[in-house]
Amino acid sequence: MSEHRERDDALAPSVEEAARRLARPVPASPSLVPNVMAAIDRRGLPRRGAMRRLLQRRMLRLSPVQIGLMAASIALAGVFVGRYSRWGIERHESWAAGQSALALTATAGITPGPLTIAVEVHPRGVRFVLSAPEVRNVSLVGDFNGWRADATPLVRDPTTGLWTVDLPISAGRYSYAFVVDGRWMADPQSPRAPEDDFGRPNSVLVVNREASRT
Amino acid sequence: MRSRVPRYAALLAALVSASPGLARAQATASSGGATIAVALDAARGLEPRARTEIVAVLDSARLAGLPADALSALASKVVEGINKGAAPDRIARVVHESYSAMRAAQSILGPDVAPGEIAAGAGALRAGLAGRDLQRIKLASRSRPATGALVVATDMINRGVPAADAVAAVVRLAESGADGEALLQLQSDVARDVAAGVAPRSAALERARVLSSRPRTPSSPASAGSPSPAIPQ
Repeated sequence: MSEHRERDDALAPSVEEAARRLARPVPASPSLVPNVMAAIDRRGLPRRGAMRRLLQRRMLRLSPVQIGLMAASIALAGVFVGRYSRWGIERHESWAAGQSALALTATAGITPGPLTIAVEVHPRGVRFVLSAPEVRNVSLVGDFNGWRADATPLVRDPTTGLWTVDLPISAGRYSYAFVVDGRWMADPQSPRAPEDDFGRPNSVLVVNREASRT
Repeated sequence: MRSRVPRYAALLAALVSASPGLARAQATASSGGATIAVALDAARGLEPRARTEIVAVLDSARLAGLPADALSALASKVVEGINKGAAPDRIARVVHESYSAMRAAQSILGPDVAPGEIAAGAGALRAGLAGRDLQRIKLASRSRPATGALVVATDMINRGVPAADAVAAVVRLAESGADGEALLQLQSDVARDVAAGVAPRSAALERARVLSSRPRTPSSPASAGSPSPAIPQ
């Protein structure tokens, strides 16, 4: 340890000398600036981003044919968007007529009380109802919302104490659970999910688009 | 002109993407569940070994031609495990097991499957049903989706009904032309009977006998959840 310190002390003057030399300004060649500028010119300007290029003034210099094409395309896009949106709504209405949910339970008789759950199909999808007047927060987690506890909160009706949420769920099989005041709980009135893979049980909801009866 | 085509296409894409109508339509279309992209994004925070295994399984599932709803269910397993705070190794194992079961269910149920059937079949296989049981339930469901029957059979097995009897109960009900509500009735009645102390096997077979002998009437949601009287112990 002491040997290292002695060697460091011995080198100190040479280090100081090197530092003095490096601190001196190095005279630049008179041709340095012109050479650098010439090199930049040869390399050219960097490419601009797509959005910036889109906004360039030359973008607006279009021929009448191009303007016509663009207008027609925008109009077509508008028609497509409108039809697709309507189809999205109509799809639910059409399959609602023949669908059933396996987790279907009667909500007509549900009354405020300790933790009663109902799931019912209605024309726009599936309605989840929870009677839990004493709790502060209820949300739904499942395959349909990425299992995020903040994605699908239920809304409380202050007069009845019923928590509800409607989801436009398409036909299929879904695992789900409720989060009640931070506690995950399965729906006791629905089939259990067979795969209790992560330590907290889930329920299963099956929404069918029934085939015509034969 | 050639250089302007991409700009023009990009502008059009930007206009379409910015449309609230399409955003709504996309939200509707994707309301079925998690996507592979969401699962991969969620798996970024996992340790490399588990993440690599999950990515490989999801990739295999995509290449194997699993239907979109089955892929979505598999992707959902990843995000479920992460949001439930499960260990990365466990998530990877569960995703792998689920994928293997889905592949088996896919080969058993065939190409003509309703949404949810493969996931339900995979769950049934994992609960202990045999491949021939899946085939029986699928055949008994005729033109209807077998998803509900598979889920109810699986639920009864989890409540202690022997697999052969659970299959016999749902097949009997399905062959009688029962719909999803009757299946739900079977599930809830058996669950209540078992909770009340009735032997699971007796509960399943007796409930199926009673429900299958009922005349079929148009379904009404208001009566769907009304329980039948408990069978004698």
